[in-house]
Amino acid sequence: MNRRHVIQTDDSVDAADIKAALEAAGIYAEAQPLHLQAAAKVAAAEIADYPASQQSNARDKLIAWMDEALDAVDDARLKRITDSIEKLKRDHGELATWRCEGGYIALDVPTAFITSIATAANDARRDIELRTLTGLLLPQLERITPSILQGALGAEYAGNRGDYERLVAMVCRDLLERHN
Amino acid sequence: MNRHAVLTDDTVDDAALLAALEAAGIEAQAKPLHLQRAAKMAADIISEYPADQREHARDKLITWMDEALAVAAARRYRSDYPGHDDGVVLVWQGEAYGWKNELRDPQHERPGVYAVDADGRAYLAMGGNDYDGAERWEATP
Repeated sequence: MNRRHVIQTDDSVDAADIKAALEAAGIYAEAQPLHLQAAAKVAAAEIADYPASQQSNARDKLIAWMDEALDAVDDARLKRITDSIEKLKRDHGELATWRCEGGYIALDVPTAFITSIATAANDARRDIELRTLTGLLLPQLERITPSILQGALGAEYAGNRGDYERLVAMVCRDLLERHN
Repeated sequence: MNRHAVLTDDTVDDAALLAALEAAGIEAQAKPLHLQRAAKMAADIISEYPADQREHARDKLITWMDEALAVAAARRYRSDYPGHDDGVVLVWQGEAYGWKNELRDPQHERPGVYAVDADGRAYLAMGGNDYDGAERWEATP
């Protein structure tokens, strides 16, 4: 067997399902989930298909293409952040920049939300506003590494997505104090 | 989204795979794997790691890939040079260059050399330097 394919499915389908489906159609195949280590082995198998004298070149080419693709992902992520900040400005007006101690995190937050969260009529309304703002800030929040998030939140850090909301609440409190 | 690597014989193309999966009620995308797609696929998997772990994941993937290449090179060496069924084959940058009857004398090899035994287990020459040789062999995971 020497033809390799990549198959993408939704999360509910595993390698055993694929193998069974192919077998039912009379196709004998090996199927394995592609995680980091399996991807490394598949990449090595692709390189090993080249004549011995060309394998080193094929390896270097694969790494160069992989790095290019990773750079493209980083660029796209950065663009998504700058686009989201532009959209915040367009849709919600003035932005205030919050920086954590040490400057490791910078967040651009619409000032309208800082006011509306501080003056919310009740806790439920405040929670809704906070959740909405967290959603709007998600592209900026997702670039924050867990260790930096932990440093900013201290004892409030829980290691889950609720941390984003706690950080946004903290940011709003800080910006409000600064504003007053 | 789940990704799977599927290995078939030469007669099976992506259309045949998709038809089989569709008949089983599985919605999927199938693409043939080649060098550039393998690179893209690796990048996709790495980019799913948290930002602060991506560089480590990239380096880890390259290490595992090099180990797999060393094992493949050792297998080729044993097939090209009969009579070296046991012992270890020495591999430097993907090329097999020698054989020893057992894993020994790391100081005779430079750091980064792989020694691959008959069962396909790889050992990496660690520590030391190119001039004095490596300090020890470490089994790869």
